Amino acid sequence: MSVPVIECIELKKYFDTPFGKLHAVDNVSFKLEAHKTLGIVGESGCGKSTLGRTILGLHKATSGKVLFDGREIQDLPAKQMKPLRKEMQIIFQDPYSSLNPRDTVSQIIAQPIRIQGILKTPSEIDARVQELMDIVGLGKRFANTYPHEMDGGRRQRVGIARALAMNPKFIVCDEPVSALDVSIQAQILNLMMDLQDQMGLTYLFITHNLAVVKHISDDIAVMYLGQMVEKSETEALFKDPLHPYTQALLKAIPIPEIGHRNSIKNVLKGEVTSPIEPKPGCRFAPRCPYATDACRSVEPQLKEVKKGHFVACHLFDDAKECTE
Amino acid sequence: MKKTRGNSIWKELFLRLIHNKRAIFAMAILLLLILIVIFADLIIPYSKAVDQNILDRFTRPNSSHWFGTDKYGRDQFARTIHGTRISLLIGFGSATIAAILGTTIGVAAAYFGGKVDNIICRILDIWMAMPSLLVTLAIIAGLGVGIPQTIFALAFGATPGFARTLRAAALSVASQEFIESSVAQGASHGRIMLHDLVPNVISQILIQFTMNVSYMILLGSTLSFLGLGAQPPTPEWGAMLAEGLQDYQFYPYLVMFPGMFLALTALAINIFGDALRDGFDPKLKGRA
Ligand SMILES: Nc1ncnc2c1ncn2[C@@H]1O[C@H](COP(=O)(O)OP(=O)(O)OP(=O)(O)O)[C@@H](O)[C@H]1O
Ligand code: SF4
Ligand SMILES: [Mg+2]
Repeated sequence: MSVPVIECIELKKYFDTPFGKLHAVDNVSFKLEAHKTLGIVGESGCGKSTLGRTILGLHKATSGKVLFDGREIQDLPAKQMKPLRKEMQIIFQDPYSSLNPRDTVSQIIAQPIRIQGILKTPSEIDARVQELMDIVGLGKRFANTYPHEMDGGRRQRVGIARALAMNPKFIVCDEPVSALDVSIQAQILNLMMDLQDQMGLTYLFITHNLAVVKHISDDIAVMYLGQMVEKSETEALFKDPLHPYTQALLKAIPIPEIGHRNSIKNVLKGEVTSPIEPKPGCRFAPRCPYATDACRSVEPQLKEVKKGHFVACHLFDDAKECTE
Repeated sequence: MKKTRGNSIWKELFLRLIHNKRAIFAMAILLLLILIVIFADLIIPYSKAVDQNILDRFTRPNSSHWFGTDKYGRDQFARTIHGTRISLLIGFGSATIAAILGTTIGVAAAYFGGKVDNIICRILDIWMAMPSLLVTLAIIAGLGVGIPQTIFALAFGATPGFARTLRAAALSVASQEFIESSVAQGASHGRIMLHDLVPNVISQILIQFTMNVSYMILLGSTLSFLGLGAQPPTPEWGAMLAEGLQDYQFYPYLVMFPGMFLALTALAINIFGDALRDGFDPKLKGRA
């Protein structure tokens, strides 16, 4: 088997807060193969962004390992990390705050090339910036405009061009379309899928919207309060969701029908547990219709119950671990 | 490609300044002062400001001594003109040092956050809790009197306030995602602070700097007035006021002219600072 592009092993990121340790990412393990897209889904605050940033070393991991191409990178000093930064990039949710308002589009796209010193002469850099703008479908006339003079979709294209500038292998996409109009969302998603095919990119695609990841993801991982509660192939997850939380998420996908409002809050009753010093047991128990005493005391472990389908829930305690 | 960075806010600032009558007034006075500073020697030689002439003591303003003479017979016009140089040197010098130190400290605190920020904030708290006049006097007592010492002492007093303001301004920039993007590109801390943070707080730097200049000119004159700043026979407005005060009942012009220059300069710079603040205020923006 080939070495996964990204592998996380028992990755943890805790934040210190005045009320105790906030378990933003708690014991997350997964592998992400080359040219694949892993969708990370979960409600706001479940630690999706923190996971993406910890993998890239933008947050220092509390414990656990991050392997890039089989090499441990979580503790690398900045100097050794710098060349690796060419390989790993990030696209942000907010196309306003992710672009420096004082730089023009061409300056923004050229910045990683300058920082990494990939190209030396201004004319080489200009040509590369032009090429990147072409790739993401930005007209030449935008080269000298400022971010605030553009619309959200074009701004997001600038962010994508910047991420592509160093020919990365792996990109964390942190809700790249959530802030955009629905009509533009599809354009950007299509662009990202085309780019993946052309450049052989590997994506970690973060979103709170299952409908968005359905088309772009090969696999989907569902997160709840810092933990991965289910992971499987996209199709299997939509057809046969195992975890009670995933089932609720699927029910909450908005149906395009007038007056139909299905938010996760309507589907699930009960309070969300605090991510600060969580109690032992299943973190979903307070909202779970199937919760038992065992759920409230013993933490369920992620286990492969069907080939490629992992779930962490006591309902599957009796299911045989799939070991093929 | 060689366009000025972020030129749109400068264009907008320029338009707002030239549509603001008070700003025009302030800029006219500042321009005049700058011309005086540059061409002081052409306007009237420095020797006239310091050479004593016992025969010409206490001449009232007339056609050969526009602002009259003092008890040593020195030409008050020459002293006021050359005093502009000294006063502005003290004001701009100390404000510049405070701006450089304050920006560095404030931006670093905001960027690094966490423990670094905590330590810097504690230090600034202590720094600001010290009574500034006392500290200034202590520094001058330690370093001796003179213009460089005055500039340093004033800059020392102004730095923590500058740092605080800049920290607050930089905090809102430091949390934005383009900073994280630069980290993810492999940028060094220095590059991020210089290239990403400073340009985005440049308006606050300029506003603070301007306000500091006028305050420092007044403080510098106060020190000279107390005999702790510029030393005789150096012409400086505050020193002139102190000397003139001894005889002002009979010769009020001795304090009138330097006082007027001092007040007008501080006023103009303050008005300009206000106009800058309005000019940079995004809330006043019609359309971005
Ligand atoms: N720098 C930080 N310091 C302290 N707590 C943080 C920090 N960043 C995130 N958190 C906390 O960690 C948890 C996870 O946050 P995160 O931003 O990763 O969630 P998310 O799943 O990306 O949510 P969203 O969909 O709103 O972006 C939240 O409870 C958040 O308050
Ligand atoms: S472990 Fe128990 S509480 Fe948790 S999801 Fe499964 S059934 Fe619900
Ligand atoms: Mg997020």
